[in-house]
Amino acid sequence: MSGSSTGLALVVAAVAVESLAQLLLKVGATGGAACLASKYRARVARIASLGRPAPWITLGVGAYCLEVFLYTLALHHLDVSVAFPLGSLCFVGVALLSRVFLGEAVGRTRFAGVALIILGSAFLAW
Amino acid sequence: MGSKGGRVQRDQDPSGPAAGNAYDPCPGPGPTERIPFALRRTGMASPNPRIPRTVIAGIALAVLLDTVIQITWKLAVAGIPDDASLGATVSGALSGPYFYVAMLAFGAQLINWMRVLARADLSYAQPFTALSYLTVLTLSSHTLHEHLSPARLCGVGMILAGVFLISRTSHRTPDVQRGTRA
Repeated sequence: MSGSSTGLALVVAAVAVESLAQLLLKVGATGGAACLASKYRARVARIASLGRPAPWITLGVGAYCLEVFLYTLALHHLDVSVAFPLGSLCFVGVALLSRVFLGEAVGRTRFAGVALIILGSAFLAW
Repeated sequence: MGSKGGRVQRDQDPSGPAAGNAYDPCPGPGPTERIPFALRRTGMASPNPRIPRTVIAGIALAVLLDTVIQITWKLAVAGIPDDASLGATVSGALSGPYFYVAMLAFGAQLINWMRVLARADLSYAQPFTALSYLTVLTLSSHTLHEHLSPARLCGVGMILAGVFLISRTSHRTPDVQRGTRA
């Protein structure tokens, strides 16, 4: 793999891990599995400890640290002007995860807002 | 899309008055009193006047702490050459005060962010953190003499517009609509 495709893979991984970290922290912040959309909650409820917030918060913080590590590695392979707007794709990741796993109302307005933010960050890094 | 057909302009209908009050620890003045005069005639007056002040304050604090973390992180590794070994990079970062300030701010951020997420949708609160791109840019264009090009100003406008759009949606999807309650 060339340097830049390694970098791209690292940024994409960082974005996915950061979106996941946000989801885990949200579940932890609301007290555990109870805030998940019902079909996922039923599956998660088989593991008793996931009803409490602590494991979610621990995993969330862990994922966040992993994200910092992956992004820092990515910056060794990619220019900031590429890595920075790609990193802002985590706003899309969070919107999708919130909609699917938390059942949040992510409609046109929120998606349009996210799209503007990502475009804007591409211009910032120009 | 969860909404019923034809009414998808807002992400979510403002729920009934009883549901709206349930999460608001400080109801404050009536909806019309809080709308800034400049917005009253534009039709952009908030469709969701009941965003708790704790959420607004928490998001503002999150942007501030995010800015502190990014700036101090930059300063912590500023003097270290790019080709330094991992060990040299770590010991270089740990030798100055900035790394510890960044870690303190990170801890505070975690506590603050959990409090925000307990009260607002993740897909509502998280995009506001894009505002820290702008605060960091503003600060570094002063201290690090990075210049503001027309393209960058465009980017600033787009991010502000995006955050504004999201601020127009309701901060919290009711449990019934989220399908977490039977």
